[in-house]
Amino acid sequence: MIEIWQCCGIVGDRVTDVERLFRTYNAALVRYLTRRLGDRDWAEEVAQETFVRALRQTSIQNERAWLFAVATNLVRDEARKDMRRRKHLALLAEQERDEMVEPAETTLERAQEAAMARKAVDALAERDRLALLMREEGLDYSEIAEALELSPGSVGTTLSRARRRLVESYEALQKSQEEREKNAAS
Amino acid sequence: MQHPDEGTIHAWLDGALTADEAVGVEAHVKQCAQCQAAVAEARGFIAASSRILTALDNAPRGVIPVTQPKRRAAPWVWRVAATILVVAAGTLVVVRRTGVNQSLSANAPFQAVQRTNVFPYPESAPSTIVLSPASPASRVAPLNQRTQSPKDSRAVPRASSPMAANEAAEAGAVRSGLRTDRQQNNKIAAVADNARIAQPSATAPSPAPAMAPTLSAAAPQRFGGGMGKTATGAASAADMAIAAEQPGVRPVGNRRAIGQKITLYEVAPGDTVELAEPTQLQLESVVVTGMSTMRTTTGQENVPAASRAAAKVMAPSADTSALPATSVAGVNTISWTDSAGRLIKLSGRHTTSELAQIRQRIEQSRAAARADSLKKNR
Repeated sequence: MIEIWQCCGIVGDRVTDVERLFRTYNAALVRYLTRRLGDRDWAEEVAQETFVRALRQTSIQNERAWLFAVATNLVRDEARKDMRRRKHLALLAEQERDEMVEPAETTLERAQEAAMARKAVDALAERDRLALLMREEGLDYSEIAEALELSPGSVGTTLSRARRRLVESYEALQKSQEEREKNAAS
Repeated sequence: MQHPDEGTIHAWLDGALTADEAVGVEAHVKQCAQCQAAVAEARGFIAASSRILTALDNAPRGVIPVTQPKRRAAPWVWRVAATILVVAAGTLVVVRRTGVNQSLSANAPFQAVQRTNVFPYPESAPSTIVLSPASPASRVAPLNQRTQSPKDSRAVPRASSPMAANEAAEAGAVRSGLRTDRQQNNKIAAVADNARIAQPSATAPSPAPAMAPTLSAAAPQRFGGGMGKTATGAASAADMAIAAEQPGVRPVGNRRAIGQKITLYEVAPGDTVELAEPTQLQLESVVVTGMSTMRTTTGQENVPAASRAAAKVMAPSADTSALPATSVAGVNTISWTDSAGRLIKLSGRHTTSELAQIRQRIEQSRAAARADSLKKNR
């Protein structure tokens, strides 16, 4: 594994650091990106690309904030490069996936919930959505502020607004769904 | 303290405030019912949004195709496939061998003949084949065929070859005709020499065998003559049966000649015979275009009257089916007439009985080729 990175000009210590980063944050990053993008494969690709970028950094002050910020920018730019390194990370991701508990079989009800959640999230403003998703992955306010280039004092306001709008939007969708079901039953 | 705003309440619930800020908010909320309701609502939003976001985790895969490494077939699949192949091939070989063995055991003479043919010519000198037809073109044929004489001069006498035993037995049977054969060879040489300078006039040679010399019979004569041997010219019944079991011969080339079609057949690796068949020739084609061009006709419409008359005179008769064979420098020639009345000659470095067998093989090969072409036409 180390040889692969060495052939790319990456020193061994940096490889060790990034692998640690990967094992620590990959699950949260993929989940964040999945919620953000609505596609698990795409999310994994972007996450891998994020860790590839991490390899090129000599030092990272706030690792989690940096990772989420880069991933967010990658989503924005839809950057997909360095297939070779991504393949290597795909192996690590596969190991990670094996350790994760897969959700139970998707039922129709859960599929409807997911669809409504997707609609509700998409209805949010981009900054609110990203702040909310990052917070859900455990990033603190300073990290969110750093990743989204916000002032630390505005993160609470952003999050409270995002949460309220998300819940209100979701409840509205839920209500309209129930009305359609009632109309269909009657 | 003022009522904390919604952002501050969320920050307080998220633990994002400093210790001092948290103490102040907590103290206010304890004594403010409105803020207690706001805090309760905020807790509800936090929990609800977290639950909603969790529903997003059931995102589908496959929107973007994943490049998976190709999975190789399991080893047992290859093992099973290899086993089936080996069994099938083995069965095929056994079935084929069984058939061949049965045929061989029923034809012991064939085995003997085959054995003698394994190393017919240790000197590896190519067999020379010469066939010339007793046709109207025989007058000019020697000019073309003479190019074969150097090959004949390189030919090794067959007395030392493994075929000697066969020939010895055969020689005993035909010894009485030896002198006659030598005389014939002398006549052939004379005719061949005359043919080189002869004008293509109406003085056509007779259709008699001696008057239809082959080049192999003529040219080697100048290098000391041959072994002198006669052949029956026709295969015996036993030979026919043996020939029926012989593997097919294959044509490997044609040699250019005027008035005849000469085909080289390979009877064994490096061992060829030559089959000469007469073709009807237009005289003017020879005169105008030379020896390199030959046109054949099926009819007599464009043939000059003199040529037609000559052709008629020279046309072989049916009773020439058993012409005596000639032998020069180890090259024997047998001749026969086919169903169309043409005089066919087969020459090669073989005994006459072998040549008779080869004749059968050639005829079988041709019959098979005709049958194949008929099938294709259908």
